Amino acid sequence: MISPLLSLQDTVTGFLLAGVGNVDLRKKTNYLIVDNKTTVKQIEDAFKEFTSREDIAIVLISQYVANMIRFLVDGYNKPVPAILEIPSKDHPYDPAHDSVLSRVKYLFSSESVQQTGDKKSTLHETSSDKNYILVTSSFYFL
Amino acid sequence: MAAVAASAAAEEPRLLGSVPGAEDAVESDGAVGEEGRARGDDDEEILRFMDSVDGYLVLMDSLSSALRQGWLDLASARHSMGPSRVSSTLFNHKEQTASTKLQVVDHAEVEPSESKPLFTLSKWRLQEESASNNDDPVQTGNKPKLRHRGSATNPEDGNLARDSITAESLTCADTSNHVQRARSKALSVFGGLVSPKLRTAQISFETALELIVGLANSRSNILASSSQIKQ
Repeated sequence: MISPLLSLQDTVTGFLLAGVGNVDLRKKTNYLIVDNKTTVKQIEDAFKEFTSREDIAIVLISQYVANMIRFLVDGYNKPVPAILEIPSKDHPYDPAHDSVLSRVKYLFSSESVQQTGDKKSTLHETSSDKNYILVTSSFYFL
Repeated sequence: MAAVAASAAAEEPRLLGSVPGAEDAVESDGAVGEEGRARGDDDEEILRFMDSVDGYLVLMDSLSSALRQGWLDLASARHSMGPSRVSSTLFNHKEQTASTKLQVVDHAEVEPSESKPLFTLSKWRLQEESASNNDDPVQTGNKPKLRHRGSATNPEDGNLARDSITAESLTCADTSNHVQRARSKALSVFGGLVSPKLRTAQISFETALELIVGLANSRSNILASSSQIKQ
């Protein structure tokens, strides 16, 4: 399996040096260099194409580029191909925007804890209030 | 003293006889035990999940460092070679297949609910080559063996170990030669004589790729654990 990337010039050059570049007979590449002229539509199309192919295991995308198509990246939840947001030269990595960590954040947010607590209490109706609080508190501790 | 004896006598039948509600207490203990076990499993899963998240963040930090080093080396190479000679557009000109690939082992077929793919990096087609080399055990078995002279006792005992060491060192040498050739081939796109900084940039990005594979594995652990916690 190959790993395509949607990124800025230097990152693409570096990864191509590491041997991930693939150019087929039709001159179709497995990477998209995003610059000032690249439209959001082009990025969307490349993302959709890379995520729907079966010979692709990991899609690397610069977080800066991922922010342009955030709705698509956040909506994607398949295990393979895995989407990984990587830092770019001028835009350092921000964990607050990472789609993987935003899922973690949601899991431990107050709403999801409440939902999980309700679910637990309905599952174990005999459990006392103390147990219910313990179950939720284990989430709060983290 | 008398009061204590009286209270002890009053307590005795309760200890000896069947106490009403004792069975209920045992049942509730069992329920609490099961519940405790379930909660313990939950806590274990949450700890595993948090470990994966921590690993993800640590790897991302390492990736940022590796990429920064790579960009710096690339900029140095561009400075010495000229901006037109270090560009990804040079890769577009001819057809080529990726020499560094990924292998995915997914257990989704066994347990579809717990899909946890495992990614492994196959750098410079090393695994493919080693697989193709190991494909012909019959051929290797039929190869003519060297005959050794001058050893009075069983010569094969001592020589087998030596042969295996020699074979291992030869394999290592072959692997390193192959990697060197593959690296040089990737660099040859930028010309015959390239800046040493371009070579160090290549190694930095190779390290970054290894970290990315680690990140992908952490991600699949996070997703699997989070779906279990939600359940």
